[in-house]
Amino acid sequence: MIDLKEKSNNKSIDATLKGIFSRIMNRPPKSIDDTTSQDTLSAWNSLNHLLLITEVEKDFDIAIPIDVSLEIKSFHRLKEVVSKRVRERRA
Amino acid sequence: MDFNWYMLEYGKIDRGRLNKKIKIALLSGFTISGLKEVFEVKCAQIGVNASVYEGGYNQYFQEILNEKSRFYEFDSDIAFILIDNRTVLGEYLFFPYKDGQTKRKRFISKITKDYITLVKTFLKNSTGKLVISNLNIPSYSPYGIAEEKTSYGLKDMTVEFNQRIKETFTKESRVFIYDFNSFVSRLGENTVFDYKMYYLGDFRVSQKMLPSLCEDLMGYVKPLLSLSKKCIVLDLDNTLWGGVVGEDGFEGIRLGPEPPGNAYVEFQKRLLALFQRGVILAVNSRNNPEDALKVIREHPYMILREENFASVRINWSDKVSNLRELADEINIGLDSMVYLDDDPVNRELVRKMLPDVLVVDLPEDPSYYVNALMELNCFNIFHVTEDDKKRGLMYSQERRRLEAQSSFSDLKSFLKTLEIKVEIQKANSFSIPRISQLTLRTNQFNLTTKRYQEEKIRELTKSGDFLVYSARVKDKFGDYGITGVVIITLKSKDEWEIDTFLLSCRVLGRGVEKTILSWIMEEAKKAKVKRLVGTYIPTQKNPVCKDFYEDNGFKKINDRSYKYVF
Repeated sequence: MIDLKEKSNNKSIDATLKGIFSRIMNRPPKSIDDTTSQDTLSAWNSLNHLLLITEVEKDFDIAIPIDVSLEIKSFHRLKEVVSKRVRERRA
Repeated sequence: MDFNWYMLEYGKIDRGRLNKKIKIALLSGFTISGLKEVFEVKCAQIGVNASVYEGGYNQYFQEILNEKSRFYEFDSDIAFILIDNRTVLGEYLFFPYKDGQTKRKRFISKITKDYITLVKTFLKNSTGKLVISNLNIPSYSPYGIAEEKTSYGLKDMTVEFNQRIKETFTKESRVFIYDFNSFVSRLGENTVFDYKMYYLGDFRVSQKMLPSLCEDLMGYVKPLLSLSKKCIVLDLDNTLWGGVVGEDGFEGIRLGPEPPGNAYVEFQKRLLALFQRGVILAVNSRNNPEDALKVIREHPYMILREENFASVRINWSDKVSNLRELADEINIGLDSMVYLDDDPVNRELVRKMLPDVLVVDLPEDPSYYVNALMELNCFNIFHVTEDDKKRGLMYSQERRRLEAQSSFSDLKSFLKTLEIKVEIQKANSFSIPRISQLTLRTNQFNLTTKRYQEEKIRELTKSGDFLVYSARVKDKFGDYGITGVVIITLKSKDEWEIDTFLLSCRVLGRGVEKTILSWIMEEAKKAKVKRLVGTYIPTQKNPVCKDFYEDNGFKKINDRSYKYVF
């Protein structure tokens, strides 16, 4: 029961993040997956990174500290950070 | 609208339908990414196709000093240099007291000169306008409460930089100072400045605040394109006062020192201040004219009076036709008008029917009317001149003249209908301050222009050799208060001399002066005086009363004195 809820939460986090990501990087949501990273996507420059972090913080009502935000170099990592912080906020 | 909205909107700008153009350059000492997009969207919203040049990051010195830079190539109509206290103070922001006062002063003096040279170089190389921001005054000092006990401290350094830059360019018509310090204090340092955004991207104004910053900067763009508004059209009920005068009555409306009436009083004061700066005011109200005019003319707490309105429409016609008529009468375009009305239905109607008029959404709570007004930022002009200050009065005089012309064939019959009453009184403790003030201030209809301080007037009234009178003027439109002064010297048993005769310009041209003079003659006669002497001392400002005595039966004695013999 709890697992199912967790799963659906993760699913909606994934979708929401893809929405924000695609808007800021100006890429179709479908082109984004866990392998998308700063190395493969040229639009993911420092400015867009900042925009991304600010947007994500606002949307999920979480705070991402500066050191953590600098660690986020892939979409996969972004999702991990956000899921963790959302869980912590709920707890 | 938040920052993201502007980013999305940026892609949708339809440049084809924008009929004005402007080239804006943005130079700054920090990251302003996104400001260009916000600027172009904001310009598009008022029909302007803006192309914005964003200078290289912290490259403004190089770009301005190098006459072959891309910045000059762009050839902006208006350029903004945005700097903050970090840009200019450098390490002094953190360690202001590592050096003594003399060194701190020298530092500010030098850096100020650098910026002055920068601006002067711009003036030499460009024909456009330049707006340079001042510095936000640091709210934190390592000295804490002792900062305010420290001479030439951190804050003083910032203030001096701002002051010197301002003073240097006050008279330079192409240079303007953007009060960035006010921007920061108005919105709050903690809102404007976000440390994370600063560390990650060197933003000194966080991105979510860029639309607010841009709105301020639009204050310079609009007058450049003649897009500033000129006139505020006001509803009355629940806009200038609380309640509906037709239902609540003269005594029942909310207007005065008690809440919620005080909100309307303050709102009116803000409007009056705009009027005094040259913004035209007009009224558009669905009301019985008698009810509403009674409030405007007689309500003790009304701040805006009839003379503040260039034109008035108080009737039962629809607001749209009234607005059209007002534009016609005042002779300005609908696109120069701002409409303030508490009623959302009226606002919607005007918005639909007259899209050129700027319709302001007044908040439901009158407490916040002033905020809505102060946020408008659409009446800007680059310099306020004497003519601007007089504009409002000119328009209302014009209105009166038109009204008079339309219903009367000559001035005399018009004056008759005004039912002017002049009340002449011996000076008393209540009127003496005003009498003195009038002698000090009145320039036009002032035959001798003798200036008297309050003490002197008091002395004259006590001496027994003088008669001091005040004249209070009323007409059917209202009370002008004490607007005339007469001082007579009792020369001898047989001779009176008019030492002072003045009339405030508010009541000029209504025959009041004649009335007062004939009253003096009556009084002289009653006192069995044989000769009444009047003097005209010419000044640059008083030719209006040059022939006053001659026109009223006095004979010339010499160039300055005129005599009337009984």
